[in-house]
Amino acid sequence: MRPASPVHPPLIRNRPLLALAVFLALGAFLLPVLSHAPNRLISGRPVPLLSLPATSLALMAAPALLLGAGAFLPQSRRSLQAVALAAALFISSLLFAAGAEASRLGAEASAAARSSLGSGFWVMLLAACLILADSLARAGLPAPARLLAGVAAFIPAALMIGFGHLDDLSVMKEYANRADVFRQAVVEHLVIVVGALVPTLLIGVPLGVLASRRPGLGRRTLAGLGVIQTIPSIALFGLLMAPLSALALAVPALGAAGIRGIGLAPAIIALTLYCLLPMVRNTAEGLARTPRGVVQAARGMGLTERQILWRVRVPLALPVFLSGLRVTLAQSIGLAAVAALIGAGGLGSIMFQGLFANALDLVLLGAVPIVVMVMAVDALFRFAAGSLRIGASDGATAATGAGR
Amino acid sequence: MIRFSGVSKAYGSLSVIEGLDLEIARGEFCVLIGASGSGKSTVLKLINRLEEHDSGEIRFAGEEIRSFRPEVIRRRMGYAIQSIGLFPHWTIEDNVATVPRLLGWDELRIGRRVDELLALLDLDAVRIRRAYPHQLSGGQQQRIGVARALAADPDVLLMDEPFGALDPIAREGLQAEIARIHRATGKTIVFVTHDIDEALKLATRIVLIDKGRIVQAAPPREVLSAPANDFVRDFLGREDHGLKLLSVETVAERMRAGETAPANGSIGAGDNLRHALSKMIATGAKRLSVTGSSGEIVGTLHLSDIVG
Ligand SMILES: Nc1ncnc2c1ncn2[C@@H]1O[C@H](COP(=O)(O)OP(=O)(O)OP(=O)(O)O)[C@@H](O)[C@H]1O
Ligand SMILES: [Mg+2]
Repeated sequence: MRPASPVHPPLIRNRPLLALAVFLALGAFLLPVLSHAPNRLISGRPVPLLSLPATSLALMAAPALLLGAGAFLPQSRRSLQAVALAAALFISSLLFAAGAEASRLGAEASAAARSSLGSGFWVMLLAACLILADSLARAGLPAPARLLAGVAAFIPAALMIGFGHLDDLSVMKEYANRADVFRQAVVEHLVIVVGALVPTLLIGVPLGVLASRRPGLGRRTLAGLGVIQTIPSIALFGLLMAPLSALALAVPALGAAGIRGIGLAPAIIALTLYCLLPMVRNTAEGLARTPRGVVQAARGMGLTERQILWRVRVPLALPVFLSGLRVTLAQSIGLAAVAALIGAGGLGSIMFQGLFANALDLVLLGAVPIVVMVMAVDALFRFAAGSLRIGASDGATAATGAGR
Repeated sequence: MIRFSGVSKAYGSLSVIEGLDLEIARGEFCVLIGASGSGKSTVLKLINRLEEHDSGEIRFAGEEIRSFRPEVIRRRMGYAIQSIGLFPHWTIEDNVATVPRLLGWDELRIGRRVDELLALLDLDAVRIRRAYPHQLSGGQQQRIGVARALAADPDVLLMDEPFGALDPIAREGLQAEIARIHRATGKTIVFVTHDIDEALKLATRIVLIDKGRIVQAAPPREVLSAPANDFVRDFLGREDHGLKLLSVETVAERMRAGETAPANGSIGAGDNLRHALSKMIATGAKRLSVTGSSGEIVGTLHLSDIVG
């Protein structure tokens, strides 16, 4: 940050924060925080934020004011950390207030009544999460602390879910109604993702190694895989159905083993085809990154080619490789949802059920865990890559300096 | 120790080494010098089989080098490359220990050796043992490159412009160090440089290479006093040829031994005459006392002894 001139200290010191705070305020005052309906079939009546009890409003107002004020404070590490803390507190109090209001409304109405989260809630949540992420990124924390802080921000939310404070929200009611189905769906989802990951690694890594050795071949492989990426997922599932059905008919043993035109087999094949591109590309790129002089020195000192591969090329390629794996996993967690359309199950099946029945809460029940999984994978891999980075400690010191 | 007979090497259609005949005796400090692209690095790479020669024969310790497994021959020769090539993901300690580990030394011995080498190259072992290469200055990295080449105490050292990235002072220090190591251990050293002064200072024999051919191979003094042709003369630099001649002769050779009356300044018996002349010019003294290894006066050097 530029040192403030003594004549005219700038009034607004953090424009992105101000913009997000305004966005948050718009969501708070113009959009309903909840929507309440006597039963699931009738569309709900909007519940504005200002109709909530004063205690709830006070709980949210304190951190919200700090968020707004943060845009005008000098941007020191400490003030950014305070803003991050305020964002975390705001997220918790927002959830708490929504849960409390749902319980209050539920107590007045019949058991069939539904209180679902309204657009205002989502806008506020999104704004607060963005503020949290932005201020944590700029607060000069080392990578592990940043990850921990990000996780800690959602501990209150997890506790509220665990202790049943949110049970009267319709999402949680949907969950309670179909906890078994939900758990099953999560497992199926993971089976699809892991099922695609294994062949992706088994095929993608050797292809990447080959591509790094023969650049010409590598370019052609990547071009081919790039074409696959342009096929929409639904179309790819469709394309796979016919040959797989034919195969199952021709070789009954395969059919018996579950290789059919619909279900798990086409889902896993399609996901693998999509995931090969980032895997091959990053493996090849990582391996090619080893400086020539380093390989020559290694060879000159008498390392065998195999030792050079395992002790030099692989460790140097690992960060790029891991980021490929991160993209691969995030992509397949998302795409696995679409696989529900061809009967592979997973969280997508809950989502589509909700979409077709016009039950938004059911969609959320499928979508939120997918988002959480993608974010968790992303954070985990970034953390791993960060701790792998050589001399990560000075990177952190440099960032600390820049935060001032 | 190493003998090239009629060796040629081409990269595709580009002929880099042509009919090279060269014998490097055990204990020699052989400096290869020549313009950029003349094939100096290639000669080194032929010795440790990083490149294979197309024709002719290269023998190491009497045996054709192709009869060794490349790894075996490489572990017996220290190699410091032009671009340093430290392993960026290994600590300094692990970098230096590369060849000893390959040879299966025990960790205790490796630890001692690393300390010894870091001290030898004037590096603060406590501070940098666990550092990573990117945390070191270019000059420090280059010293680690040299330490790594020396690590397993090889009989042969191949050094490709090992002091290129150093400032003049550090460079002189390391030159003195490598000369001392050479005297003390009798290692065979094949050393590549661009710098004629470095070559004159270190070499027991200078090999001048031009376009893949040897132009002259002789001890520094002979190169200076009897340059083979104009190319060599140009390379030596016509202007300060005289000074270069002085730089390969020691004070002891010209001094008046036994003349022990103290003079205004003093100079070591092992220093070169160029250094002595420079000192006389700088201090205005026309004679200097010559001191022996323990500081005692062993003679006197007069200006006329240098110029006359
Ligand atoms: N791997 C290679 N493939 C093709 N040509 C090469 C290769 N290595 C070296 N050359 C060429 O061989 C010639 C000699 O190269 P070499 O590296 O031996 O020169 P050098 O004398 O060490 O030069 P410098 O002083 O610049 O290091 C140069 O023309 C160079 O371009
Ligand atoms: Mg070279």
